[in-house]
Amino acid sequence: MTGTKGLKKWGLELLAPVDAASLALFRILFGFLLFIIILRFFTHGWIDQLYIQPRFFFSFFGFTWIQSWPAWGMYLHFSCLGLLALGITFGCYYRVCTILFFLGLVYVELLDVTNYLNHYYLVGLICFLLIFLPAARSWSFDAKEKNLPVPFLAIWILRLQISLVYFYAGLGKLQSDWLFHAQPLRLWLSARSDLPWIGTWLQEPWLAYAISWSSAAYDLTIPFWLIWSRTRLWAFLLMIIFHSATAFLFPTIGMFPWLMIALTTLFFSPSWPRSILQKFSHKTKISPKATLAEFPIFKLPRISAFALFAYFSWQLLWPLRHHLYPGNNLWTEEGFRFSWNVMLMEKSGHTEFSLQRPGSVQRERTDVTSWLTPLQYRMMTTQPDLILQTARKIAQDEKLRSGEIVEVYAETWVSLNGRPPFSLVDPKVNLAAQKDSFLSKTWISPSP
Amino acid sequence: MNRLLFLSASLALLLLAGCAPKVSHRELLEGISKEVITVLYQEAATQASQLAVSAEDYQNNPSPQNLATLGVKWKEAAIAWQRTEPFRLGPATDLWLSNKIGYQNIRPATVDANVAKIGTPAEVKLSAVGASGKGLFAMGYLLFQSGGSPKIPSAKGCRYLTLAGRDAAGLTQQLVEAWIPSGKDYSKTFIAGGQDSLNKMTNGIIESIERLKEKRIARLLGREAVWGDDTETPSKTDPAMILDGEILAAPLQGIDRLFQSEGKNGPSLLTVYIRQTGSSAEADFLAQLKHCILLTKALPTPLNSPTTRPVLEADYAEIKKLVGISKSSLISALGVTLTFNSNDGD
Repeated sequence: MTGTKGLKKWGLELLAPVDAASLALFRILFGFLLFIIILRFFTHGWIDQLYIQPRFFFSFFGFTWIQSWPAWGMYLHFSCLGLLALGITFGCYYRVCTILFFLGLVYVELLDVTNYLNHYYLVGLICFLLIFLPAARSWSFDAKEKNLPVPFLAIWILRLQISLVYFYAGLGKLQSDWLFHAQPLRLWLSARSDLPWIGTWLQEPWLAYAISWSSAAYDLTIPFWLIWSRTRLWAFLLMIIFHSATAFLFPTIGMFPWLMIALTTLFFSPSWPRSILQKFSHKTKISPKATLAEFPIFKLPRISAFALFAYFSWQLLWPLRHHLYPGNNLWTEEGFRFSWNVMLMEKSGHTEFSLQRPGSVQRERTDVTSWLTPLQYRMMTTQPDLILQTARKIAQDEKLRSGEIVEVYAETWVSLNGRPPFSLVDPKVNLAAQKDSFLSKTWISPSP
Repeated sequence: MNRLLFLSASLALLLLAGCAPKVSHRELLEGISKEVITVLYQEAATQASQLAVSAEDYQNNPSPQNLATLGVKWKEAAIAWQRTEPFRLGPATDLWLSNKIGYQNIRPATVDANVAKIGTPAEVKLSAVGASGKGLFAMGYLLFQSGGSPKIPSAKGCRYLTLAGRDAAGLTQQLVEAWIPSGKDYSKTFIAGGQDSLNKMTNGIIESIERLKEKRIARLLGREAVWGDDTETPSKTDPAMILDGEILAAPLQGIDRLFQSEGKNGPSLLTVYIRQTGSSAEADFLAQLKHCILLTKALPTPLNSPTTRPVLEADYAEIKKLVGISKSSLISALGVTLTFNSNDGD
């Protein structure tokens, strides 16, 4: 009975009207970061490098039908994404902007698997959630009335999403490479030992162990420290130190640390931005706290409740799917993507493909670096499903060229987290005859 | 007070741990620059200058003995030069010296035309001749174009050998000057480059091994594949005529120098550096490298003989493994390719 009462009380708290300020500030920060992300595509030449130069794209399973725009179309696409990001920032046609940005981002992310990044996936999810959340109710061009509240649930949905990212990132670190060998951090920190002052320390194994263990503990527990008001400020400061250190030590990590810092502001009280403004300006129209009581409790339609339940059930279960596959998922990468496996491995390799014509015993070496970009080659060579796609493409091309149905074999040398190189796929298996699916790939060699 | 003592002691311990003998980036690059790269270039310069002297001796006294000496000196110079191949960083490429000294795809027609012009008003200055008409391999062509022992060059050929020898010796010396502290001191730039220098050097090493596999051995096997974005034009000369196992193995020997501790006891700086990362890459790589050196050096001549083919096949397979190790565990251990996407990573 007490449990039901507690649940009901909790439910009412979630539907209670709260100040929309923190959600609005989050929208502004997030929209601005989206704009910077898109801007970086232009300034770094990534649109050309990632979407125009490649002569072949690696598809996600079931998405082979997605095709790229011509060059001008890709530039136009990214220009539109930039404008939409500004639309989100300023809350101008907010709903339309979030829907279009989400669709536009999903399109570019689905174009080529080799461009997959966890933080783009996170950005996609947040955009998806923002479509349904009233983040433009305050401090936006769209807001018709000032200081309209939002249901606390809107903020909690985002908090839960962020917490899941942290928690699963921490869960992924609970494995022997990370905890007992401090890998890949030992490799990565050594590579930064040319930094002045701190460089020598970065070669110390104990430091790599200390960072490995503390970052695993951090990821697993930070959502709880952020939720608990007594530890929130310290947890936030710790988070800033953690993400700044990550950005400093691993500059290629790009926008990820800043994105996480922006997201974490949501853990503060819903009216925190207004309170800060109040401290600096007496003229600012302050928190609608007094007026919040005037608003009735929000209602959550049954269909919305079901959709929320379905969404978070998927978010809870999907990252765990790798347990359904045999072997070490760092090696096989089955169930690896979309699971918040963040910075868990240093994997490098080399793959050579050869084809065998019908009736012949000779294998002909075929070089794929002439039609894969360096990035595509590097990503392909350590990911079994991409090796399979490459082999099938070789077979298809050969069929078009000579009309022959050839067998394709791959010799691979892959090193995972400092281990000696091993063969990632069985070199005796004709990959051209294998089909991609969600089933376990029996031709992946056992983990070293 | 106790707390203060405890804190001080902890800090001191931490500092001591930080000061434990380690090979830093700087020490590693300093060691490689001074003890490996500069030494290899110095050896190449010494051999090139001896070759120039030998060519001049032969021009002055074209005796069979001097010809034999010239043949030996050419091979020693070619080996010494090829040992520098994995380290063609900075001045070697920036000043276009590398190609001028040892471009392998020389054009026999250009060399022959230049030789024919010797002593005529149209005689060319070696400094104005392009890479495909001079350098060590043009000299090799003049001496060994029929394979086997050096053939007797014409008088004009002798003169061209002398000029080419002097030119190669001068250019190689320029490279040494570019690296040493008393010269242009490129080593300083190399050391200051930190991880970036390590990246360039490691990529050079891998490229050198791949070149041996794809451009030398595979070509001898008659199955040269299109290799990456390599722009090297097909060779106009038959490498089997002027190359042998020892010359082919030379770049691998150059790489092997990185793992030698130059007269000091214990492992080399690179070995210690790699072991610090907790990786076992160094042992695997070195074992395979030594195996490849032995196999390649032992390749029977002429390299294009049908009986050589099975040995070449075996050598190709072993060098392929070496490429695999280099591009997987070695680059991981040296932090050369981090598993981040170049468009931001996580």
